[in-house]
Amino acid sequence: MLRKTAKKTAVLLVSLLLISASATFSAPQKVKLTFWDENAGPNRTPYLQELLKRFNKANPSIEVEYVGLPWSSSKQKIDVAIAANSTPDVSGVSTNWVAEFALNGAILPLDPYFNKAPDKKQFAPVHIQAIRDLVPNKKLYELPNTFNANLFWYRPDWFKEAGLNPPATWEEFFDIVAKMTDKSKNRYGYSIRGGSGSVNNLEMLLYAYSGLTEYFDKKGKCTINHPLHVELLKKYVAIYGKYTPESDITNGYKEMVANFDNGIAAMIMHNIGSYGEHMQTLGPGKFAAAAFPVGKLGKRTAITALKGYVIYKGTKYPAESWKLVHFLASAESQSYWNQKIGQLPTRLDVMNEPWVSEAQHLKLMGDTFADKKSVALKNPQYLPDYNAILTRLDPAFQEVLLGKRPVEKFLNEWASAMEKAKAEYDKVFNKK
Amino acid sequence: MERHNKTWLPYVFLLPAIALIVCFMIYPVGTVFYYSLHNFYLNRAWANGFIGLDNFKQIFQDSLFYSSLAVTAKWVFWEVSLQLIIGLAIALLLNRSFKCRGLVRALVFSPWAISGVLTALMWSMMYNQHMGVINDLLLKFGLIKSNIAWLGGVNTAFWAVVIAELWRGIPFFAITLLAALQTIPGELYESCSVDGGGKWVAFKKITLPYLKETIVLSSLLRVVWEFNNVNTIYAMTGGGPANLTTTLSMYIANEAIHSNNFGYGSALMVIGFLILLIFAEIYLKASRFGKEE
Repeated sequence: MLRKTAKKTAVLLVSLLLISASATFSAPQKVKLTFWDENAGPNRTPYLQELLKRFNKANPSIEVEYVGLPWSSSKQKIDVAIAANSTPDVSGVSTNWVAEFALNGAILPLDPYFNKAPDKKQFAPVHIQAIRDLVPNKKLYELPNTFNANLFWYRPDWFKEAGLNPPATWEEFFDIVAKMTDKSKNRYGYSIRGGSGSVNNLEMLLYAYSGLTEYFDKKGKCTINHPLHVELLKKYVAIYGKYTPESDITNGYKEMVANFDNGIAAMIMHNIGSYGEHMQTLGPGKFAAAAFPVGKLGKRTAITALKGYVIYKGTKYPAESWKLVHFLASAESQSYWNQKIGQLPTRLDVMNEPWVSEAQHLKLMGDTFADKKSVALKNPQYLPDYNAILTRLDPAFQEVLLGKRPVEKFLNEWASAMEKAKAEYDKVFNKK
Repeated sequence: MERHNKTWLPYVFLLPAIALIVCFMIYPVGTVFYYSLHNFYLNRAWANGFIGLDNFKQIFQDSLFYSSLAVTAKWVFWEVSLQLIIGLAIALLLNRSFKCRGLVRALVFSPWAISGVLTALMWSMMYNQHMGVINDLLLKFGLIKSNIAWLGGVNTAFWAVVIAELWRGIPFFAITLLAALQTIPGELYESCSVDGGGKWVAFKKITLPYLKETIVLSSLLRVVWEFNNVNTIYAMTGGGPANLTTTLSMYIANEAIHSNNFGYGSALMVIGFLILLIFAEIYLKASRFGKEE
């Protein structure tokens, strides 16, 4: 009796197992990818979600889970995820994180996929090379989908009222900043980024002013403490509080952009990526872009930034992840995304689309880069400590603004931190 | 057999609690001690490894460590003493009977229910130089002539953050002291007045001695919390301007999270831990906590 029952149970169990197994085989397996957006916000997230919706529609076997991280803390969150081995499959990145992630072995080289991609020639070679140059093995760790550069945003309506034009020289810049200030109206000529990310922002301004194009000279000395940079920084500190709001000292990018968009500052220095914010808050006609004047040494140093997507080593689905990355950097996606956020595409085919030359700020960027005087600064994004050094200097810059730390001392400290990081990097990777 | 049962059974019941404490307290705290003896960078893996006491040696030469310690002392002193005094005053008021007492109590305690980050954001907006309500009101009353950057000014940033945290911290003392006040037998006050003692005498001789244990314990807790407080400062000033609001905890957060230097951050944490431990020991001894007068 007992045996019979045991037999019956066994048959039942086996048949149950078979049924469930066949059920698993017959149902199509959905691959689930986790995607982290490194710069989530109301001016970006809806468009990215639209792209993911399109991707899910085109790839019914893949489901993408979107996780939005605010820009101010996304780098930390990814750092911690890397340390804890809990990375997503794919994330957006700023290109100056790539060297650090690649050297830590956190992200996958994309070459095996990229080399086979039918549209690989459409990606501007200059951008692909810039990403390869970040790592000693020259592999491609990021697929770029957008291109960003710094410029001045100014109020054309106020400028017209005052009979002024955007600055053609650096002397004019300081003149305009003074003339546009009217404290009785709570209006300032300029708004400085003095809080988080301030030193990164300052770096761009310093090189734009000097026109220096190399971050390290031939002897390996960092050029950040160049006399022209000392000169600029002294002038810059002098306008703080006088022609800029005093609260600028705590400005992150959002606060600085808000000062411009709320009619408090006539001019700010930021990248083309804040176009969406200006459009939404100020509306057309009340904001325009102006290129930096030519630097003192005769060059217009352009500081550019790429953004794109990486695949993390921990992914179980590298092929599907590539599909997603490739989709987000495709012509259709780049066209949609860059039009919406107001930045430049990284593909040659999309660069030729009419909207690129129609938008004032994008046309300006295109013309600026085409100008023979323009040279891209080679800032050492390949140094894994590059970001940390700039971040660590943020409070020191506040001391400079408050007059508590001499300009020379600040720039010398900056230079020596970069030189130390470079020496260490060269030693570890045997570049010398 | 029964005897044997009795000896091991309590330990079995304690096991889940012990396991949780080991997992979520002893292990993480142990890791901090472990990393404090290491170089541990998230971004420069090749530099990581055991370095003995180097982090600690560096701390004692680090001027920012000393300045952050001074800011911490100032921060904890003002926060705890002001919260205690104002909290006690509110508790005494709320202990009386008046109309709508329940409603007033609920309103007084509500800041405690708001998260630290939310408090920080709310106050940041109120302090905003251009659209903050504080500047607006002060201008309207003619108390200031132009807008002030409360969180950006060298002389104002620290106090601005102190006030925001004060607003949130007062209810803690008010709640705990009110609860203690309600345990004081009313007859004591009656006999005090029969003996001719005034309000001040009653407060000094009855209320304060009864509240002593609660005051000592709650202020010690508050010292520990304020010492470790990161969220309000982090969200309001990030430790700025120019490190003027960088407390030790802020410095630790900045070193570990922004500079990727977890080894050094851990060493700072160990120092902070020791400081609190010694403080608690001295404080409890000095206040004769748990001993009858």
